[in-house]
Amino acid sequence: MAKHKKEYNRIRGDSGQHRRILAVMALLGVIAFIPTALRLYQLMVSEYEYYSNLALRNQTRTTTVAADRGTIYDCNMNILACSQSVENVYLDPHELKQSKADIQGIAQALGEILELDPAWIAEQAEDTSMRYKQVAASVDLDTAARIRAYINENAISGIHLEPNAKRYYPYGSLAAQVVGFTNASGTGSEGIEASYNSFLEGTAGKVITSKGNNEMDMPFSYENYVESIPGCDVILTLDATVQACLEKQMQAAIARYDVKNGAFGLVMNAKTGEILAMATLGSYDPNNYLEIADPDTLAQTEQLRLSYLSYPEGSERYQAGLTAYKEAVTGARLKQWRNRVLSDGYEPGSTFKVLTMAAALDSGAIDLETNFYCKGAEQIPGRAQLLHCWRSSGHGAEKTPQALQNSCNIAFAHIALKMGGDTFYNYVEKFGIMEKTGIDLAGESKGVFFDKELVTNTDKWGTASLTSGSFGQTFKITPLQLVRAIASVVNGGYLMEPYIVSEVIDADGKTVLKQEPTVVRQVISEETSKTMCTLLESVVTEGTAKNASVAGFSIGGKTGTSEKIDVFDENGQRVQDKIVSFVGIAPMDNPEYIVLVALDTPSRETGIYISGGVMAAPTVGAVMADILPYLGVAQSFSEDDIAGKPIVVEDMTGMTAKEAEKLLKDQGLLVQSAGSGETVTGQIPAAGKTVPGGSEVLLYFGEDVPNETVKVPDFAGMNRQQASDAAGALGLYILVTGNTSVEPGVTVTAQSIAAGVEVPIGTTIKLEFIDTKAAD
Amino acid sequence: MAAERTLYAKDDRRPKNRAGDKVDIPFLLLVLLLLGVGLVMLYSASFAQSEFDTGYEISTKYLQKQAVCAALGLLCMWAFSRIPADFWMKFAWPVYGVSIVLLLCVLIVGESVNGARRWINIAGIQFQPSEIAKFAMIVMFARLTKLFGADAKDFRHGVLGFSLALLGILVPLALEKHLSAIMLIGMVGVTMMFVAGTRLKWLGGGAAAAVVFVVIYVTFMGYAGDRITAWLHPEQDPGDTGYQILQSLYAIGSGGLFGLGLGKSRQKYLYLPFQYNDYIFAIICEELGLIGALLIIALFAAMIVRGYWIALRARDRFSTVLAAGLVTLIAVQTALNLGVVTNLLPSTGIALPFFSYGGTALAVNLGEMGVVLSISRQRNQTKKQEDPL
Repeated sequence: MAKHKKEYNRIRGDSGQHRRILAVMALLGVIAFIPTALRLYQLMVSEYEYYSNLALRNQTRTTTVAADRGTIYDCNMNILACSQSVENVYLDPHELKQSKADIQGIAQALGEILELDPAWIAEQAEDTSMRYKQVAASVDLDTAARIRAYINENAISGIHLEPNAKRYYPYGSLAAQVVGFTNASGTGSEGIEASYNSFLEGTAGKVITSKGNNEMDMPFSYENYVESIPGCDVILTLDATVQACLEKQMQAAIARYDVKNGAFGLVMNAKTGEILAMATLGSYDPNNYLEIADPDTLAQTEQLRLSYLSYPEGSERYQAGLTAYKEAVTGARLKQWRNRVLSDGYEPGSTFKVLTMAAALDSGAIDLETNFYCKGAEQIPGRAQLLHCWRSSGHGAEKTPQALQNSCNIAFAHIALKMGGDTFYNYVEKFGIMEKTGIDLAGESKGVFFDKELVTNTDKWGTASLTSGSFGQTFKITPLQLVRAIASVVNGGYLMEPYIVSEVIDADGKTVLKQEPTVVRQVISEETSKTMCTLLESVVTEGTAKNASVAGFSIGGKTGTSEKIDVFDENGQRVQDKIVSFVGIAPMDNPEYIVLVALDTPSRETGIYISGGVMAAPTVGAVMADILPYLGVAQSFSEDDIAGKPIVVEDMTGMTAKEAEKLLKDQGLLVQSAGSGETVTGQIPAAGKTVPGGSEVLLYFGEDVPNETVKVPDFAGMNRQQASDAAGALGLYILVTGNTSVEPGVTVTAQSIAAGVEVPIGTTIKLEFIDTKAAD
Repeated sequence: MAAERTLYAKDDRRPKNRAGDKVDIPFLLLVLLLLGVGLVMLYSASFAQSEFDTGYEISTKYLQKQAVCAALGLLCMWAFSRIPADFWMKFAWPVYGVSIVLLLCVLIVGESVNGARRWINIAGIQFQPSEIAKFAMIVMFARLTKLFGADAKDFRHGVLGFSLALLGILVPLALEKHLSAIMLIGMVGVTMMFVAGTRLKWLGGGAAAAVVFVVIYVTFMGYAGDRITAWLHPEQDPGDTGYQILQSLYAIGSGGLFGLGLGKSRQKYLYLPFQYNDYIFAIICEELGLIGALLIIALFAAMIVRGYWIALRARDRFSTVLAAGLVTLIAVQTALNLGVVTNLLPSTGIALPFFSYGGTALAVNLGEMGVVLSISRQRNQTKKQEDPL
């Protein structure tokens, strides 16, 4: 039995084996699960919030819903930029597959509505490699509605419409650099669109929805909407009409003078600093901002494109050509988008003399009686180079007003010397030339003026910088800086902070931001300012800017012609390129508007003398003639320019001679009678026609009005007297525009009715007079 | 061999195993319960993937295969529950030999799935020989235990014999680079040696050697660093190496106390990879909550404890060790799988018995439970007639 017992133990295992199995049972049946259980408690109870939040984030998709972008208005609430609602159409191939949709049928129907190839749509619908397949972008709302109707009728899931917005600029290229544009992602990237982007863009909304991975639909639904907040509307001080006038005249000047490198111009309210117009030409259409608008540049880039395409793809020349093409396109785009009025410095030239003179008068360094003598060139102490005046024969003896009227460099050098570098520099600084104007537009630069040391320490550095600086050479400022400084000269001495946005209102019409005129500082006294107004007016009436005169308005201003001293041609020679400019101010008894036009590089081929007086002054004059009546500036005609005042002739039929005479006299017209009847039976010109002030009106008493016609003569090159004689002999009237001066040097450059055309007698012909020798 | 023969002859005294003897009903119920819950959860965890795989046509792709294998497994279980344990003692060597041959076959004609060559295709049926190797190893160990008896305390019998048997299986698995199977078999083997009576100092040494081996093995596999980082700091690379475990933790954590409800998991919508096999427990947690998860763990624990109880009450030493080995296999797999899913352990690739998708494993596991049930049949007689206690 003992043997059996031992054998049994061998078979059954000893008590040690029992214990061991119990140990394993405890370990693997109980203990092993304890850490797991505790861990589960930790994950599912203690850290439940943490993990369920992460899980939710993991399982949901956030789609942003773009907010409606605000509208940009001009000061008369004309829309300059607005967003149009459009919709994008896209397919969800997975969803289509899941719902077992009839792909061919859908492709046919969509193809019909969207005018697309059904085969192509079917291809998109079956491409399950992508979650979304866009089949049409920026579809108008009508089309979108038709698609929606189709979806509902056939209960299709897998075709989606996504609201989107397209930015639209109704005025096209008008004020393009000011308004700017939005880029592909809808963010403002130039101009107001950029600088007021945070107001315009609004706050995007969100749709949070649950989605399985690989975009599987989940029965678990979680949706959360956060409404978008529409963007604010921005109202500009800019006036689309004024802007259009400015751009039209600049465009005309570019064509007439064959201006090579574009032009820039600015209309500002001299008292408030509000910008009424700001233009840079050649411009672009913000509706297609990537397109190169300038035909010449476009042709050049196109040539580059064709050239690299002519090489085998991937070759070195191909690559180099491609790079060159891309650079050219990028460069052209950046150039057309650039707002030169505030981003680029230029040499102001003689227009800067306004500031120099205002400083000298204000500081007492000179008065109106100070004498200067210009013999054409002068060796100034402390200046190595001989100082030349623009008129090499010299201006002779001058007093202060003539120095400005003649734009005499030598006189101005002496003015600067009299003032001294410190005073000059301090005034220039106070005029805001060393600082940005603070306009609410992005991309402003502040130009480059001399180091203080160079101007003030004449013992060490000589007088070259001081004297050149006095007439606006060898430094650069932005057009906006110049206009703002000149505005302070004429508005009583107050340097304003220019602004272009008057108000920002939110979608509920509440004002979010309102801008008021801000005086930065007073630079000159009101008295000096008054004196300067008189002087500036005399530049137009007697000086280099006669071509800027506009009949009925008192205009002041200053011409400028500057050489580009820092631009060199391919041979390292300084180019002869010039920027001609004119700053005009009106009305001079109470200056309100200030207009700058600068033409960059007029062609030497036209034969027209390249100067601010010949080219820029009449352009500004034309702008003034357009905008001043529009802006409600009162007209008053002096004896001299009565010939430029248009008068509408009334119907005098049936009037007695006495009555008719009185009426005409009150209107500023003269009378010539014929016949012996009691009352007027006919008249030349007919009722409703426009004649210049001072014209003779022919009244017929009982006699028939002659039905004659005459050929319009060629007035070109005639002066006022000759033109008026020629017209009078034929029974025609002339209306004077442009330079109203009767000086013999002022001659006709354009006529409203071409020579040789048969017209009835009594017709008024508009003539443009320009002083073609006006310099600087 | 002489000793064995003697021993065998003495068994004639024992009553034959009779088919009419009752299997252990609690154990059977626990297994069936786990299988039933397992199939339900497999369907829940896999239908999204199934729909995605089949282009939204079929939601039961995985369930169908698993159900067929479950039926096959139940058949195995029934059949094995009727085969006396003696059968396995008799055929321990052939079973062991065949499994090694199958493992070697894999190396030559095996099919690759996910870059690992572990599958073999016989007459159109794919299966993993490593599953059979686990069973063969356990049978072999039980056989050796019986053979060595009390001699297990010395090194020659208690360590060397087992080690050689283990090596026979581990070497081909190592060639397959089947790390999870090696770990599993190693751990089950060590547990069985412990049960068999091998001295603890040898086991300690063996365990140390195993650790060294694993370290070297993992190092040579070349991605040890990544795996350890992914384990300790999954949030450092949420898109790649940490993705799997983070998605698992999201699923578990978002279950909370009561879960999102059966079938309502969100993570199974392709966020959590392997949601229908190795990581099915994460979906269970998400849908059934802490309570449901603990209940399922309790089912496993009860089944394991009952399994060891059957081993304790088994008629003879061979049956005891065989039952203990088979239960250990289920227990270790369960523990390791839960540890990985909850990120207590680094990722190993061990499935959850009765739940994870995998036909071979399910069928083999059920068959193994059939063997345990067969052993449970024999206990009453043994107890009554032979156990004086």
